[in-house]
Formats: sequence, C-alpha cells, structure tokens
Amino acid sequence: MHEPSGAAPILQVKNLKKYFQTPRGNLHAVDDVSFEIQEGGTLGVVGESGCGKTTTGRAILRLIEPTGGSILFDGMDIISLDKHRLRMVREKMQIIFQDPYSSLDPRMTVSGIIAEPLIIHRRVSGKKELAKRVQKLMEMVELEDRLYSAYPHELDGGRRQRIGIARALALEPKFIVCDEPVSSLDVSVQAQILNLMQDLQDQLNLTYMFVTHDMAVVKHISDEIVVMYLGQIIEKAPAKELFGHQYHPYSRALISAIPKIESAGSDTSTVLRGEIGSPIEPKPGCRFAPRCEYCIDKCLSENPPSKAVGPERYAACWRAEEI
Amino acid sequence: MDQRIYVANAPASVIHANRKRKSAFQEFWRRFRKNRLAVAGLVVVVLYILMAIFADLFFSYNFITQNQISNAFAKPLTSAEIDDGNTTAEHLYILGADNFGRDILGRIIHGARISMVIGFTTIAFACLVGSALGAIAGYYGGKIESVIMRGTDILLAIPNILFALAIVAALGPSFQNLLLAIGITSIPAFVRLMRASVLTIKNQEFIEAARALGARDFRIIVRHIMPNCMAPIIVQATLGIAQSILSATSLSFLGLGIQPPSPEWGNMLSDARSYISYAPHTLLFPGLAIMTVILAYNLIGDGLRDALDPKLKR
Amino acid sequence: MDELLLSIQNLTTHYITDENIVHAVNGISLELKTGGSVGLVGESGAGKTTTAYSIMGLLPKLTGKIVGGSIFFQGNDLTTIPEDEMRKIRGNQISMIFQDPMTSLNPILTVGDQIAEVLEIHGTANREAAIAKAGDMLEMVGIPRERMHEYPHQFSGGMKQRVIIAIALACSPKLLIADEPTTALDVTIQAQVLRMIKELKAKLNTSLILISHNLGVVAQVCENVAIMYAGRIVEYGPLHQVFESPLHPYTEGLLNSIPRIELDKTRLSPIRGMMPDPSVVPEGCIFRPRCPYAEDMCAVTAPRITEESGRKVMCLMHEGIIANKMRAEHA
Repeated sequence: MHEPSGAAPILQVKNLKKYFQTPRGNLHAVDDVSFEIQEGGTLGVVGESGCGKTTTGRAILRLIEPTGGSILFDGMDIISLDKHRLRMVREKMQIIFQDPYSSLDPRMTVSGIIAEPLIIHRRVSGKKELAKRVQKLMEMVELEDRLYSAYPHELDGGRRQRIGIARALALEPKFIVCDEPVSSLDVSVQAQILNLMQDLQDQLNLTYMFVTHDMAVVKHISDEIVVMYLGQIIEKAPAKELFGHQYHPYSRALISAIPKIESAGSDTSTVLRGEIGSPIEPKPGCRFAPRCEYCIDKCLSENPPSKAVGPERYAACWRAEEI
Repeated sequence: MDQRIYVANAPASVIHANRKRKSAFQEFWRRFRKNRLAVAGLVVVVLYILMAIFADLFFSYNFITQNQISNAFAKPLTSAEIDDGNTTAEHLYILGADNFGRDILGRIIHGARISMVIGFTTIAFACLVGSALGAIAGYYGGKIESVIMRGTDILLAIPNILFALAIVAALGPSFQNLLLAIGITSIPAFVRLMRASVLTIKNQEFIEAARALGARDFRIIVRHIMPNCMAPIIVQATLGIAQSILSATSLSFLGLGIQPPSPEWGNMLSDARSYISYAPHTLLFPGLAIMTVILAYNLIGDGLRDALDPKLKR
Repeated sequence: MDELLLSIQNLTTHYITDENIVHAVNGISLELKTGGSVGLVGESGAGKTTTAYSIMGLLPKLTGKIVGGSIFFQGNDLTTIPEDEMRKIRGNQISMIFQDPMTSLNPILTVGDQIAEVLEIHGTANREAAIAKAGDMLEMVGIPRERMHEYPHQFSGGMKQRVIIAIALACSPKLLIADEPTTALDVTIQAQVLRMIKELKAKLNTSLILISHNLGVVAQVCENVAIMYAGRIVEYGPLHQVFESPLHPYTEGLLNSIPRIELDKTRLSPIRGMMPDPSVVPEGCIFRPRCPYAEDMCAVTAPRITEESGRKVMCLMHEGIIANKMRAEHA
C-alpha cells in the first residue's frame, strides 16, 4: 500500500451536492459530501447502487455539473472555472472508466486512442515525437509494441483497460478518478491491473480516488475509505481499521455481507432487511433508518451529521459510539 | 441501478500469434459476399455505372437526340438507314427505335448517365446536409434539436411531387432545379437516422472519455460520433439513390423534370405512353432499365444492412 | 436419498462458426447426488455456461453442438432424447436461472402470471390452482402474495431475481442450475438472495449447480466445487478442502490473485499470461504456459484425472509423472 506524503491535501471537497430534476421531484444523487485526499494517496469510495459514488467522481471532474458545494484542486476552485481554464485543469485530473468495452472508441486504433489527449492539448509536435510518446506510454502499462495499430475489439478486457490507463496518463495528471476500473475484468486479470495501478502510483506520485463496490479490492488498494449510502458519506476510516471495527450499522452490514471464502458454509452475516430507499426527495432523518436495527426516534426525524468517533474516524450515526 | 453485468471476455477475439488479423473491411466484404442477390445487384449497378461513364464510346449524344423520323418505331434487332444529311449508313437498332426514330439502347445508356448523376449528387447533398443537421440536433438537444426536427417534420409532411412542383413553378423546369428538389426532399431521412444514431452513441463511455480529455464539441461530433454512425447512413444512402432515381423519372414523366430531348428514362416512358399497343418496345425497355437499376440498388442496400449489422454475426 | 441424480460423463461441446471451431467444453465429468450442491468456478471462457446450456439443451442451434459424452439425468441420457421430451424436463425437473434479472422477466406480464405459466406448461395445475401456487411461491421467496398482480418494472433488481427463483422452483425441480445469479446485484442484496437460495434448497431438497467466478459466493452455498479452466475441470472436491489446500496450480493461482478481506496482502500475485485460444487444441497440459511449476513433460503429455480420497485433480504432479512442488498447506 502506498504511504502518502505529509503535504497539503491535493483535493478538498466540501459540501458537494448534485441534484437531478425528475418529474417526481429532486433526485439527491450526491448530498453534502465532504472529504480530502492527500497527494500520492488513495481514497476508496464504496457503496451500493444509488449511493452516489459514481456521480461524485464525475462531478469532481465536472463531467457532471455540481449543483452546489466547492471542489478545491491544488487550492484552485474547480467549480468557478470557465471552459477554457477547465480544459487546462483537465490535463491534471483524469478518469479511468469501468467498462473497457464501451470506454474506447471502436473505430480508433490503440495508438490513436492513447495519442488523442496529446493531440487535443497540442503537447507534442511532429508525428515521430508523438509516436515515441505513445510507445513510451504503452510500455508503461505493459502493452506489447505489436499492438500499436490494433483495434480494441481485437483485444481482451485486461489489455483494453491498460489502453484506458495509458490514455489517462498521457497528459501526466496528478489526480485520477478510477471508476470501478477492475470490476468488469476476470479475476486473474484484476490482479494484474491492480498491481499495475499501484506501481504507477509509486512511480508517478499519483493520487487516486478509487470508486468501487468490491470491498476486498478497496481494502487492498486504499489508504482511507469512505462509505456512501444514498448520496451521503456515512463513515470514513483508514482502510486498515474499517474492516476491524465499524461505527455505522450500514458499514457493518455491508462488510459482513461480503461472501468470504474462509467462512465457507457457515452463515455469520447480518443480513439486512428491506431494499435500498429512493434518493428522490428523501424524507428527513437518517436515510438508513428504515433498514437499521438500531433505529430510534431521533433517527427518523433528524439526519445525523458526520462526527468524529475516534482518531481519523468519522461516522454519521446518532448511536455510533454505542454500536 | 448500476449495471454490473459480468462482462465475458471472449478469448476467441484475443490476438494470438498464429491468427491472421482481418481488417474491418475484409470482414464486411466476406459477409456481404455471401448474399448472392446483393452481389448480383452490385454487378448490375457497376455495369450501369460503367455504361454511364463510357456512354460516349457507344453512342454519341448527338446521335441519340437527333430525329430520324423515317425510322420511327423500328422493331428491335432490325436495321435501317440513317440519313444525317451528308452520308447514309446502315444502323442496327438493337432495342428498336422510339417515336422519333432514335436508338432506344443508345438513349438508355445515356439515360443511365443522367440517372447516376441525379442519384449520386442528390444523395451526396442530402447525406451531407442531413447528417450534419441530425448530428447537431442529436448532440445538443434542447431548442436546437426542436427547431431542426420540426423543420424536418414539415419537409416530410409535404408530398415530394408537390414540393418539386413548387420549386419548378418558382424557379423554372431545369436540371439543376430538379436536383435541388429531389435533394431537399431526401434530407429528412438522413436527419432522422443520424439523430437516432447520435442519441445512442452519445451516452457511450468513450464519448465521456473524450470530454474528460478536454476535446471540444466539434472534435467529438466529427471524430467520435459520426464515424460510429456510418452503417445506417450508408444503407440509407444506397436505398436513397434508388429513390432519387425513381423520383426523377416520376417527375420527368410528369413533365416537371428533365426536358426532352434529353434521354431521361422518365421522359422515354412518357413519350412511349401513347404507343403501348402499337410499339410496346418503346415502353418496355426503358421500363426494364428503371426496374433493374432500382431493384439492384435495393438489393445492395439490403445486403449492406445485413453485412453491417453486428447482431447478425455468426 | 443418496442416489446419483446427475452424471455427466466426458462431455465435449463445440461451437462451430464460419471461421473456426471453439472447443468450449472438453471432456468434463461431474456427478451430483440428490440434494447435493456443486459450485462451478472459473473465469470467462472457461466453459461454465456452455456446460449449463449443454445440460439444458439450450445451445444455440446453428453453432452449438455436443460432440461427445453423455449427460445422465435420473438414468436417461439427455444428449439423446428428442426435443419434446427435453421440453417436459425444462422448468419441471431441471430449472435454470440466469445472470441478468433485468431482462429475464417478460415486461408485459404480471409476475404472478409468469410464475403460473410454468405451472400451466407442465400441466401441474389448472389456471386457478396455478395462480394460487404462484402466490405460495412468492411468499416462499419473501415477497407478499398481493404483489403477484404487479409488473416486473415495479420490482427492484434483488426482488426480480427472487421472482425468477420462484419461477424456477415452482414445479419443485430436482435440479437447479444458477448461472451467476447474484453478480448483477448489490452486495447486501446478494447476501439476502444467497441465503434464500440456501434455505429453499434445503427445504425442497433440490440439487444445485451454482456457476460463478466469485469464490466467496460459491463458498456460501455449495458443498463441493469444480474448478474449470479452458473447458476442463482441473480440480474437484469438497469446497473447504479445495480452497484451503488446493491441488491444482490454477486453483492456487486463483486464490493467490484475489484480494481477500480476511487476509492482509500487500501485493497480489496474478497468474501470468492469458486464457488460451479456445479454437486451438494444444498438446500436453492446457495450463502449462501459465503454470509456475511446469516442466518439459507438461508440454507433451496431457494430464489425466487422478482421484484421491474424494478429490479429483488433473495435473501431472499428482499423477506422479513429475515432481510435486506445491506446498502441502495453502495459507
């Protein structure tokens, strides 16, 4: 695991909101989310459907326009940037997508895809220079030279994902949002890509925001983890500690629901009842209350704020300390 | 709910050292080839195009537009004398002569040139304009889309013949105006097709990826979206050529299009109307020419659609 | 009853396309007792789904073909029976559920109708009785019976999957084949559905073949596990034994390459190389290019299945042909 430097946080997100308008009211996809990431570190963002983790990642890059809040990247306020400056900042903030099949233009060759960011931002002059840069990037992600003119559909998922990573690295970014980058890959290939991402992080001092639903993966790769539920962060903890003890009932249920190989046959999970609620015009009070076994009256009327429950540990639960 | 379908890597599509890599075109051609009718259509169209290009080698334009009343309605495969004032020569009318004694085969060959020109120019125009409008409508949405789509709907609501009539009445009957009329009425199909494709592609992740890289809208539309929408456009273009030719013949038949003595097939049909019982060959051969070309284009279009459809892959 | 319900012997299935022949399944053998359960584990392209389709007779007509072996179900060879016989078995004696709950249900029929349909097809009941039984099945999967008049779009993903399970179990089949049933579901919902599958299986004494690429999911539900690689079963045995002390290098590699909650790994050990091209049949062991213990013999001699105290493995190390360099216990 990568140890982050003690420098100032490279990304500071405060009270980020994203609401979508639907016929039935506002959809609170991301509701008052705040966190920081240190340069060179990895923040894992986990949660199930509708928790808003994917929207958060895209909102930070302004691929989706935030409804409110502030995003400070290297001290610069991203939200207020105009189109021109935003394009410049985009060089430093990149994204790797989940689906290696649909995130690559099927009509472009491997080299075309990797070269595109360099062409758009006019970083390189001359075809030879460009080819050299592309080859270097391919080498960095361990893509064979002979695939230079290949098409994505000829390659397997692992190789395609490497193309996506090379493309994200082309502009030498500092920060990369990784949106479920290994979820669509075969198990043995996942390991290769995860190792590659860790190596690249060490080599290039990259900062990752790693969005995933896979708890084992997030434990492996993150320094710090935030757990999201229906648009809110309900727990924040260093990766090593979260799996030992959870302060929020949802985190606890989530972690115990993971099917573990060791507990083969025995059923030790706390199986949550009910379904994930609706993010449209959520009722006042804790959003997890309807499914929570520790629910008390206060939970139904007031939404618990995130409060410190230990060193570097935060949970949004009225009864966090008791649990 | 997010889609976390376990995406199967088909190992068969992985590059292996011992496998020949087929280009996209070779793959497409292999599939197209299997459709015998489509290939037959292609052969026919190529023949017509060659005829059109080399028409002058067979018959001069003067020859087929000059009247030889003495040979009017000559039956197919008969010879007759041509007198052009200076010399007389024997000429074999392979497909017979029309009411003015002009060689029908010659007129059909030159007519092919006219038809091909009409077909290709109108569709090239409609395709370019229609695709651009459709792409803009699909990509930007909102008011722009509404304006473009309502304009398209209005165009679709006007019957083609009426529209051509209006143009001709306003601007006079000429070749250019015919092309304009047919071209404009062919636009809506492309607008709709392109817009539909754009709406589908627009939400694919690689478009979002391009945006994340900082690509401008123009680049995204022209380099990412449009190339991926080509398949249905190509099919529509092929079928559109057939429709254009048919429209042109219909308009000329009504006297609104190409004027005589141009050997346009519609004109030939129109002239031959009165002589059906008397000299059926004047109607038959131009009619067959029209029919075979239209059929051929349609077969190609169908064949293209099947060959380009990824879902039909075996 | 401990009788043998299903006995697959040397099954070989190919997909024959214009370009080549895909050797999807290559001579697998598997046995299942009444009430037993086996997890079929492997990565994509291993042949798990093809095996399931072969059993069900659902291979694509133009391209899929069982070219060898037999599938004995209650004494009858399914590969030789005519289609109308097979139709009586599907949904009735052997049921299958698929990965994507979103598209597995007909959007224009109520869920009650869809459950009743399978009962009516197999003549188990007339319309009224079928509807009543449909209500029972819904309750069995934890959905209030009044909801039988609702349409699929009114249910969430997890509930849709429960409806699908209800349809599959309506005729109390002897065998249920579940192909990645929880892969598309959230983790907490997955836990609910897996628990339910386990309970129903015990209640109805249904045998289960659970296909998954997720070792943890299989570990929750199955007694035995078969590890598939390139159309072959490379290891088979009681699940905890296989996962605690794997015999085949591929199994060991799989266990080493996945991040595990229970363990604290700093670095994963991926299996080097890639899945082989299924249109090519190599000499020797199919796993050799990726095997850390491979020797020259492995390129020439194809290993056969060796059996040892209820466990099966396909590896020259266990045949005694080459030295066994694997550690005895796997941490």
